Amino acid sequence: MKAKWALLTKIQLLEMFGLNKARYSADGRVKRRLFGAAVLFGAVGLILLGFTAAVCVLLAEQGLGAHVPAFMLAISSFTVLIYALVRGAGGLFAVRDYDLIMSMPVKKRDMIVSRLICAYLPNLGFTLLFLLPALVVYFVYCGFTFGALGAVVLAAVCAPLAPLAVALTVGTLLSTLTAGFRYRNVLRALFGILAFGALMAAYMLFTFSAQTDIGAGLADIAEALIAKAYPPALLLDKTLTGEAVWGVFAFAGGSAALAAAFTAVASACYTRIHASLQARSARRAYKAEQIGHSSAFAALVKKEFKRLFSSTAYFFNSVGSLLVIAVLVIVMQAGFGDTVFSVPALKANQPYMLTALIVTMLGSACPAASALSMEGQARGQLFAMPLTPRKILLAKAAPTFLLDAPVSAVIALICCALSGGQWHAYLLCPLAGVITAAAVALGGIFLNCKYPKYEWTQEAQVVKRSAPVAILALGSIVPGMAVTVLTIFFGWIPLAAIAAVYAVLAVCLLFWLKKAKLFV
Amino acid sequence: MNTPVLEISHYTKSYDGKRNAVSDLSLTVREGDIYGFIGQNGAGKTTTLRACAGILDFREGDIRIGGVSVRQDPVRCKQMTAYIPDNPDLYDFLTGIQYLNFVADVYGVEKAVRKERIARYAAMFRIEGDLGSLVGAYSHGMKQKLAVTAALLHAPKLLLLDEPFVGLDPEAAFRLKEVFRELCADGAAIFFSTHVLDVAEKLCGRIAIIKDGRLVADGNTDEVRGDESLDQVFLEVLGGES
Repeated sequence: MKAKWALLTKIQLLEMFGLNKARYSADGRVKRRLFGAAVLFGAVGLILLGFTAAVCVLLAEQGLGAHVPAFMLAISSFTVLIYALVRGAGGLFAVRDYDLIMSMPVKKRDMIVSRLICAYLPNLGFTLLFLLPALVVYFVYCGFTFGALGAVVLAAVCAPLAPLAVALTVGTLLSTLTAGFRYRNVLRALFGILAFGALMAAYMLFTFSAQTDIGAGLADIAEALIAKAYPPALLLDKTLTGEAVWGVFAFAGGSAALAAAFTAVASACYTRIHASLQARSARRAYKAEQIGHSSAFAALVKKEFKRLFSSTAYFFNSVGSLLVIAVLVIVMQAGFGDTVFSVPALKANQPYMLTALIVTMLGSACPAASALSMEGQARGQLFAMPLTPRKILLAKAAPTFLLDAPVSAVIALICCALSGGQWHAYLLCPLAGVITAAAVALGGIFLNCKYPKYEWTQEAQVVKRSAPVAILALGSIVPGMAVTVLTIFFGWIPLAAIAAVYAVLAVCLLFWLKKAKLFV
Repeated sequence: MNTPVLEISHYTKSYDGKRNAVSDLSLTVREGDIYGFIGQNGAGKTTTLRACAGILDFREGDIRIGGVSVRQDPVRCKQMTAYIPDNPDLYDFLTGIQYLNFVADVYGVEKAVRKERIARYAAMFRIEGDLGSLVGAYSHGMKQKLAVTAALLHAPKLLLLDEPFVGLDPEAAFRLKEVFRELCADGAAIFFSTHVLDVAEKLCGRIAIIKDGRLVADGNTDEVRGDESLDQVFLEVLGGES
């Protein structure tokens, strides 16, 4: 008989990848969608793999070959930590199938372990995307040894454990402490954004300050980078450089111990945590003045905003990405203002380059890409109302536009002001941001309409791991990056060109909306 | 004779293009009718109700509400109807009153009218003390009551309900039956599915029985039932299956 945690894990995995649904569904579209998603994620994986390999080679060429695996371990673990912090403990506690699972003869520990494994596996895959090229590059530059192979494999397998345990502990504490608040989701999202913003800012400030110590020696800088990004990765570094063979075992042991400690504590408190998260607030009557009146479209838009501000994952996915854009662009401006952008040719094109960067990243700040999927099982209610699909879809696209357009326009204007842009930069840059926001909002709802994902148990499944979100993010990054590079040489022209393309796209999508249909 | 409110003619629906979930179904619900739609699990009741509500696409046949085709002008049809699914999954992130406001806005119910109706139905279903709370905190029965209240706000001409009595406490079920009768006396019509044959027998003036997607009995309750109980008739038309 299989262990119960294994059975529970299997069920979780079947849901996570949609394999079972695709296998048994009579609807060919389900299989095609899964195949499409697999191809897409495969492509993203390959791009990331190529990018990581290029960085590894670059570092090795600088004479840092021995430090490459530890460096990549630090980067991947840091990313896993941020991602897990953002996600919180939503996948562990107050899950929809709690009653079903806990009514069975299953230990709480089995449930926790199964959920942890499901959180661990994608992060392991992500870590391998960094460590596999690092390992190959290490062998090419430093020679093959079984010891190094074993050390890196052991480090890779254990790497996601500690960041996950730390992030889940923080997420659990935050969820439990805010459980009694009415606007707890907003509080959690704000905390997540603050934590993310602080980490991003600290990371970038550190990166820029590290560059100033270039005379300290490459090996020292490598160690400093690793230590500041993710200190435990230094243990692998010490093993690979021969300073301390026990380093990787300490890393593995520490990671496993943290995960085990989290599992033990969470299992012991599982019921209490679940109860506190599920606690119903006291009955609350309504007041007559709460009955308002607005148009159907306004009511739909208000509902979309309320949903956005009520869901931690959904809110973070959009507002958090906007914050990343703001931090990145402003840090780029502040960090490179006196160095890279002091070159006259680049300084003249600086506002266009930074606006192109906004255009590149705006696709990641698109709640519209999951707005329809968020309806889930309740979609029948909405579709049964006397509303045209156009009205419903426009209302779902509205929050994306209303958030992205002003933020991108304001950041673009700030960039113009900081870089002393000419009058046409003040016109083109915010306009490009607004047009991109419109195209992103309409593109997001178009993709979500084509590839809806109504069956989900956690919001993160649609706001982070659905095809429309991935397609839109990738689809805006690729042309955006190209435009960013081209603005270095051609100034405003590539930015104006992409704005024109996005404007045409937005108009086409507006026409498509007239023909759109919505059925359960 | 009363005017038809819902006319289903030769409605056929297949999900996979091979097997029909509903085949060539035709029936008419008229003003004042409380029409019960009964059948086994998977017989095609929900598939029919969803198509009537305009949320399920179909290729064959036609469904008209107040003389308007659901396929030709779904928005006009939806303005005349209210649909309550078997397990209303309402917006957990809204409070009860916000949800009612949202529905009233979408249906264009005047402020004064919605105030009066919310007060009336909330008191009737005893949820006025909970409307300030988030829907996510409601029990299944309370969600059902909220869904019913929302459905009544725009005084629909046709109420489409899928298992409306599941989850309701006896008092709320009684009140709902009273509301059904009131609405029908005012010229509306009710078309609902149920597994509770006793309710169908006592409440419905007309009954349709569906088996494997085909209509096997349809007419006045007394005619369908004859001298037997509805349970017996139901088992007979299903070929003695129990």
